[in-house]
Amino acid sequence: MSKAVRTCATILAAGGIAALGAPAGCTGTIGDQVHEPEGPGSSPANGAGGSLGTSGQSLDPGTVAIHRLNLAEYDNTMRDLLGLPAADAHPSATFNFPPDDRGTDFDNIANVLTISPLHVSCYNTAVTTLVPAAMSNPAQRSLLTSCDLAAGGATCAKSSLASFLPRAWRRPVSDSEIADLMAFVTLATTQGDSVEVGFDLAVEAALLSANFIYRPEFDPVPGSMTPHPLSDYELASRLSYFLWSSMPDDTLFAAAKAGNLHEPGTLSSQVTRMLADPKAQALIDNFAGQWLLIRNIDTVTPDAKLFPQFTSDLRAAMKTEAQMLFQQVAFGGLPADQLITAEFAYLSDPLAQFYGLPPVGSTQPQRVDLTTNKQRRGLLSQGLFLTVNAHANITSPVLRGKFVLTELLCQSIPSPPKNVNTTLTPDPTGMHTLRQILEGHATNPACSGCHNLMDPIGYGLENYNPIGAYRTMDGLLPVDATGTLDGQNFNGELDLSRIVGSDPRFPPCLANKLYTYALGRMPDLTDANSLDTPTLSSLSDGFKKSGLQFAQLIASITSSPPFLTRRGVQ
Amino acid sequence: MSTDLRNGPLSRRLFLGGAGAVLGLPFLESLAPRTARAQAAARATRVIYWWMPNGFWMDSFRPTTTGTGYTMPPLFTPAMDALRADFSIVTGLDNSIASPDGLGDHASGTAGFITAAKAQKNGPLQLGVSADQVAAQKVGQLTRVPSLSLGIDGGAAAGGCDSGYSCAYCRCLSWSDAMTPLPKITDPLEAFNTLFMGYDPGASQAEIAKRQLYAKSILDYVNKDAQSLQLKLGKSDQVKMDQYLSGVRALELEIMKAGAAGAGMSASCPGMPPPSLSSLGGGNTGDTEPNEIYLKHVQLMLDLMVLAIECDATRIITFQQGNSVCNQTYDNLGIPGGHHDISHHGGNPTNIAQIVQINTWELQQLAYLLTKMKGIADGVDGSNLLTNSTVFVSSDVSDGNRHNHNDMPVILGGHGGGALHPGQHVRYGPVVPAPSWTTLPPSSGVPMANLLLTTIATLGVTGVAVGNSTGTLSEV
Repeated sequence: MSKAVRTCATILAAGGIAALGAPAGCTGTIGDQVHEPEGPGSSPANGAGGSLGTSGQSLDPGTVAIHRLNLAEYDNTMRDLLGLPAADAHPSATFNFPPDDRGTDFDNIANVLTISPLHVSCYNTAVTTLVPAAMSNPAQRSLLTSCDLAAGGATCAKSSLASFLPRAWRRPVSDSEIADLMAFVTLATTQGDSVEVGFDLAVEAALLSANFIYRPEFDPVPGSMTPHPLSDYELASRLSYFLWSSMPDDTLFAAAKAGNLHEPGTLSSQVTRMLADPKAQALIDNFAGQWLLIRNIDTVTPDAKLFPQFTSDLRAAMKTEAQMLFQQVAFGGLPADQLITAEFAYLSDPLAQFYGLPPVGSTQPQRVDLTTNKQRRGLLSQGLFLTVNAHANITSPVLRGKFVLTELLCQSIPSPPKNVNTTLTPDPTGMHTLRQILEGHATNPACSGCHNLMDPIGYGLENYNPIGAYRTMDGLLPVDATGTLDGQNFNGELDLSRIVGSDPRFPPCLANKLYTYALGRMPDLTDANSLDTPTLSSLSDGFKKSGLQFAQLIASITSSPPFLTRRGVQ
Repeated sequence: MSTDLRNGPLSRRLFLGGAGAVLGLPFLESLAPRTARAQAAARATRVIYWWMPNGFWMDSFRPTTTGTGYTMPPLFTPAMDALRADFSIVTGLDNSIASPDGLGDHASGTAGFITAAKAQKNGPLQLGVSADQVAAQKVGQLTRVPSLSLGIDGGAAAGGCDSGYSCAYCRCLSWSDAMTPLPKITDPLEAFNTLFMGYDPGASQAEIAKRQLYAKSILDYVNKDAQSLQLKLGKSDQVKMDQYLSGVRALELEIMKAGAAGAGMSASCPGMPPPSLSSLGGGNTGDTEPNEIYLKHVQLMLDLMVLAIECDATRIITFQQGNSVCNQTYDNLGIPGGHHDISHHGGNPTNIAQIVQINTWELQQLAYLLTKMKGIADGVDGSNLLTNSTVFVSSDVSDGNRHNHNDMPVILGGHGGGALHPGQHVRYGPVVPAPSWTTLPPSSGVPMANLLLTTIATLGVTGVAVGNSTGTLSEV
């Protein structure tokens, strides 16, 4: 288990690869033993591609701030590292971690993921609870130590740490790093406690360490703006946190150790393998959960007096329906535009009944054909979308229209100006539809600029009440579901979904969202020297050529220069 | 093998994580003689910063006359009548530094609430140190918990918070430095455990000392480890990692205080069973919670605040009653719709009546807190918790419709340990005749920051600045 070369010992110079001496960004010291996450092996020179502008000057791959594991990442990493039992699989909830902050769309944007004393206190409570629990659970214990600590003493503790620590820190570790942790074994035995107590303390310390809490990526020269490839271990973490919201597994560590993870063939086969792994469901929870507001169904509170049928079963069925359609896009090869236009849905009995469809004969979701159905097509007709984009007591053509524009087509819409009344009061007499009340926006010049973009999209969804039930009347008047999207007139959801699904802005918008999520930073679309704009353009070209295959988009993102390289900050 | 580890998580959790489940009141009582505590506490003042969302209906908030003879405005009466001598109404202060870039007054106003600083909209977080933290950095070490940040709503797990501002600005009042928001605790039981954790009645002195040694060794290790990691990072990441190091140091202090507590560092406390919202379906993880839970939640947090200062577990508290753009519903008042939606009144009399109802309810909650504090003797000189405290109440904006950050509504409760002059309306700038919402009052030019500076001066913290402060206010 030894090796004297560091994985980050090379950088990419303009026009080629140049091996430099030991950079400041490396851990340990030359000549020190290095323990890899997956047994012994030699470490490669990393030749992942930088990107050159036509002038020969490197374009900027951007930089990602040191990334604190967000709540989902922390939970999943602890689950995979310690084999947490299902009941304890969400430490962030068990130990009341403060919620993550979002930049705009996602909670994995590194530069707004902060740490406060409350966080450190929560981490501490979590590890001082979960590590002793793992040590006393035989199945979990085997992930921490495979020898007999009582009989093997310090030797066993050391070899256990040598295999645990590289997994925990997701990179090779040096002898001196292990020695630092072995001090806890010495401390415990000096205090009259066992080696086991000391080993437990060492594991707790390793998991409270910044090397675990953060995902550090190193620049050979921290102040240098010259792009350089990530180490294969850093790349392994980028892949696993993008696709799994968790740490790399043994196979991925092995590829990093072998030194060829960055090679296109290996990279591509690893990505394919990872997408087929159940852990890739994290993309549903965390990417789609935020992009499509799926997470918000858990806490949305429709008016219980008006909508007694909005039960916890219905809430859950709506969530499942939305997740399963996205799942088909992400993992089932369904072209991404069918997220909007799918002529089928995954419905269980409560939801089928709620939609006015024949029972599916199961409380579990079944695929239901909607080809001849005139009321439901894809995302925009889903109970979840319609409910999380409504007010508690009335629909919101504004929110629904705004979602289509900002989240599906990536158009920016300013918030309302000051000093306007944004409250809408439903007409208790039933003599005015909400649409009629809202149409006041179109005549008020302070409002019309933006609302004339949003509201006429949302009007097309007025056939669905605040919890997504189909309706033909609003109050005493029939629903008028005619609308306009950028000058295209339509009538009702089926029309609207067809227009949105074929809108040329949809594929680049999805590419932009996924790229942002993959990198954990906002794309820089203003700097001409940034690689983000050309990368996004090439991503959406490839995405379109593939017939809007999500897997293709992921493959393109993970092989794009901004995903494979980074630079320092001056 | 030591028994604490062999016995699994409970004993370790007890030491550092939360004694709430087993904390016996008789044990707490025994920690320090009540009279000893009372004598010590006679010199202690406390400060509470209470944020209420979406502004106030200023025409019913702002008295039309000033001084001690002012006429109690509609929002305040009758709830605050009996407390007239114990609070002041302060109007006309300017917190325009908290105006947003473009839109997002609620986010920037919340961020600037007690920082009196401007929030950076795009890129990394950038704000300023909040008043409570300016104070905590000077006197926080005197109590076991340097400062406590409480709130109601965690925040929705997806979607934007306000006009492109990071959710951190909407959800955190307390900032320990310009880049570091301090998240609030929303779970009452977690807050309780934070205040009163650290004791294991069953442990021997030797056992406690050993646990403390182990815990401290781990923190020493991660501190060193993080510093060596920091050396390998670029400048901006180094700065970011300071947050981690500060957290580690804070925890280390807590552990040392927890160890010392058995020797009398902590005060004795009255009883309060560990609070829980579980009978109502648990605490909140979204942006607003059902009305029935919300009412109970606010009540529990107010009780905890009183307990915290009565026990001298902390002297500095912030309380965020919802998050920015708070759309809390008020079924208990018979009001349909959410608070933020309603606050955009546009002059509509129905909205205005509803805002007045909500504000009135809010001031009833304030009256509950102040009355409770006033009823608790503190020290040997006949003073009480209210005379020894400063309770600062304001909002992210002044008028919820106009979103102005000048003419801010402030209620200053308590006597600040004798440093304040409660019982008056202090007006900065010209008196505004009601009704005035249609006309933006001119700025007084007196920054809110000066009042914030005044509040921390009541803690004995001087020679510092808060945001754009220029000095303290002697009138209040």
